[in-house]
Amino acid sequence: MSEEQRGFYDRDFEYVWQPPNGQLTANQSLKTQQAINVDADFWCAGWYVPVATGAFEVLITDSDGYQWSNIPMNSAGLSVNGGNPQVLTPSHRFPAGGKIQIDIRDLSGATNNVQINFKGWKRMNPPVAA
Amino acid sequence: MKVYPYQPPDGYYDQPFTWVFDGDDLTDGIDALNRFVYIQGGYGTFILRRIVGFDRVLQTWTNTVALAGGKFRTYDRFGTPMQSAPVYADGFPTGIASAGPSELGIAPEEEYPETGKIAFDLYSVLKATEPNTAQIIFQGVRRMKGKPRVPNYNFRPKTFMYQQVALVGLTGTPDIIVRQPIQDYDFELYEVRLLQQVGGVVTIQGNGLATITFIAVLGVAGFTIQVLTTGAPNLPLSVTVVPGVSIVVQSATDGAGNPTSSANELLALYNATAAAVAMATLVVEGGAFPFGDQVLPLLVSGAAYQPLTTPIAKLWIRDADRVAIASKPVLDLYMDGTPGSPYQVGAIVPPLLYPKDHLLQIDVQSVL
Repeated sequence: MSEEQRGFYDRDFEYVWQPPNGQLTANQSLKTQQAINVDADFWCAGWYVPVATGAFEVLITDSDGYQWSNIPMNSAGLSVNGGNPQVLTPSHRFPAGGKIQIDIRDLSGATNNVQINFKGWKRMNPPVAA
Repeated sequence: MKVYPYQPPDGYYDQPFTWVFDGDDLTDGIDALNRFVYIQGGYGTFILRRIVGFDRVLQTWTNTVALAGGKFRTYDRFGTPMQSAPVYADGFPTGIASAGPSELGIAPEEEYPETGKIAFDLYSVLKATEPNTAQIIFQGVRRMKGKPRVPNYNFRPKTFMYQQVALVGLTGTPDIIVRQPIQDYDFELYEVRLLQQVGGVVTIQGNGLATITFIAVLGVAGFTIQVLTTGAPNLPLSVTVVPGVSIVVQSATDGAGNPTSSANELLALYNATAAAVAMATLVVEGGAFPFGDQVLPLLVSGAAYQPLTTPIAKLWIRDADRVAIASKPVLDLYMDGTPGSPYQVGAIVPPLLYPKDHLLQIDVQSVL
């Protein structure tokens, strides 16, 4: 079925989140969010941690208040490779203009450079012909 | 070309299952031919898709001695070999060229009927150095007549992860039963991931005594724990803390210097000692009884969780009806999908459905 017939089209996209200045301070607890652009819903198909200089734990919550786990996840159990991310089955929708709520806590006791990437696609409406 | 998703024949459904061969009684240095795992009646036809563990019962291939190394050969339901010749088993890469797989995918899948057997030959046995870990597993599904358990309502799945902690003691300690209540919604188990915290736990126990366990707080640097029971006469119960360095417990004593404190009394005092709680959590079982001693200071640390690289336990996962999905407990490495673990395969295929208000139970058996 063509994009026109489906009424939308998907484009690969990745939201990249980092703490302020790219690092957590020692034992820092941070409640923050990754804003979703208003141009399209984001369907997250997987996520991974390409950078972390120390251990941390993280709890992800979507715009509806739905948490991805019962307690914060330890970073040792998370995928670190973009070619082999932690796959979400099924993919998880974040509405346009919404947010990915990230509650993160450093466990290393030292400055921790962290980046978390959310891979998926933007679901966009087809452009309207002039 | 039309593609159809894989599904069992009409009138049947698949349940994940693993047949386990424990090779602890194999003799090193010789061949073990005509071994088999019996497919017990009542378990349905078994569809084999994966074999893991030949490298834990066979010599590793080495290029320093020509043609040296353990080999295996497996047989189908008719007794026909599945390889044209025995295949070298291998361990994980050690800097030399790998001679063969340490796990096999069976494609297409191989069917074994009830009351049949999965037969195999082992050449040049050498059991893994860790005791009680010489195990081969045959993983796949058992095909049962009937209908699977499925939700009888319209549903929309959303990703979710349950996490649990198990304190694994030494071999011979009672199995730990991990029970995760399924809350709010039905849950489909897709994958298992395991992490370990090395050196973070001290357990003190004995006949007729309470079991006390100190669990280092994550991130805390190494410190020592010492538990003294006997001592000078008429001592009070005490918990002495040097922050970041040591925790020393002294039981109260009577006029003869014998211990009089119970584990519950220790727990109450310990939890009231903020400096101690900041370093380690104390867990007590059988608290009405006195506790044992640890005269020599033991070093513990709140080391970060890390992937498993060597076996710690065998796991026996149970479905929503508490029926085990393996014939025996399975080595943890073989069912661990954590990145950085040896196999990185923890998938449950097909997924197991746990209805709301049921329990996800895993029996954990130490191999330490």
